[in-house]
Amino acid sequence: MIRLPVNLGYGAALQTGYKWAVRRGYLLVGQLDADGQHSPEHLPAMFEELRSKQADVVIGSRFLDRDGHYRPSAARKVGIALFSRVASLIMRQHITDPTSGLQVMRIPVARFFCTEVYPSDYPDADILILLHRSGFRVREVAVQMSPPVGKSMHSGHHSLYYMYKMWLSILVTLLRRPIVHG
Amino acid sequence: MRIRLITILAAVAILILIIELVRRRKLKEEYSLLWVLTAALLVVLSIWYGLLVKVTHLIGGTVPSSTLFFFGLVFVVSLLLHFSVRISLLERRITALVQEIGLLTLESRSDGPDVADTQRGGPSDASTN
Repeated sequence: MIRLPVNLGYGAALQTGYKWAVRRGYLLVGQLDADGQHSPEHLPAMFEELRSKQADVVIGSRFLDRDGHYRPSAARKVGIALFSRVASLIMRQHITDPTSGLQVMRIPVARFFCTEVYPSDYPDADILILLHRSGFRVREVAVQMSPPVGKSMHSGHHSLYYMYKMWLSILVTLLRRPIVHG
Repeated sequence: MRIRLITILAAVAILILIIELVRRRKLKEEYSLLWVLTAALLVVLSIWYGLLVKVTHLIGGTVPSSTLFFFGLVFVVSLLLHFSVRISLLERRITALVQEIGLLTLESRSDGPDVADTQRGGPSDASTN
């Protein structure tokens, strides 16, 4: 386990993991939130999806099969629905859960995330749009998630700031010249 | 005339203070630029009152003092913006440094090289940050 002496935020913590994977020469990365929401049992199926669908990133979505097992707060639901719609429109593919922390990826994606493109707070729809514009192939698979144990690691979200940040981030992502990697 | 003397003295004092701070290495040269420019401009404007009046007419103002306030505000805002940019840069550097501490700590604790430990020492990822 990597212990950071200072709390850098969710995104920066993930990025530390990507850096580790890149330096160790790993080929694949799997990530899940440690607050009890994600079960590692989903990972093999997601890696299989990565391989069989020729994808670079596979995201575990809570909303892909609409059995309603996951019920976020109203404000969060609106945010997720809105930015899923925006991401889907821009990427011309169905995106349902851009905030999901349950993901698997190939190492070029992790290497890409080790640069300053990755936010230190919350990677979200903006990062999916960036991946799409950079030529990486993103897929979603349906997963089941449990409610987080104790305080969710995403509870620090202030919805107004979040809305502002996401719109701005998507706007500047679209304004930047894309660098194609995949 | 007294007010003119006071403004000239104040502007010169600011200029000397900034140069002194740079000399004692309390202020880095790159940060001093905006301050020195402003202080120099203040000196010029307080000596050459006609220029201030001219600029006031040019921008359509009525009172020369409000022209001074306007440019003073522009200066303060641009300085604050400059600081915000600096803070963002510093934050990014701190993030990279803290990550490095975490990674190095784990690396020093793990015994024996990893199975896939082939690309170690290639700082290709770190250099971009």
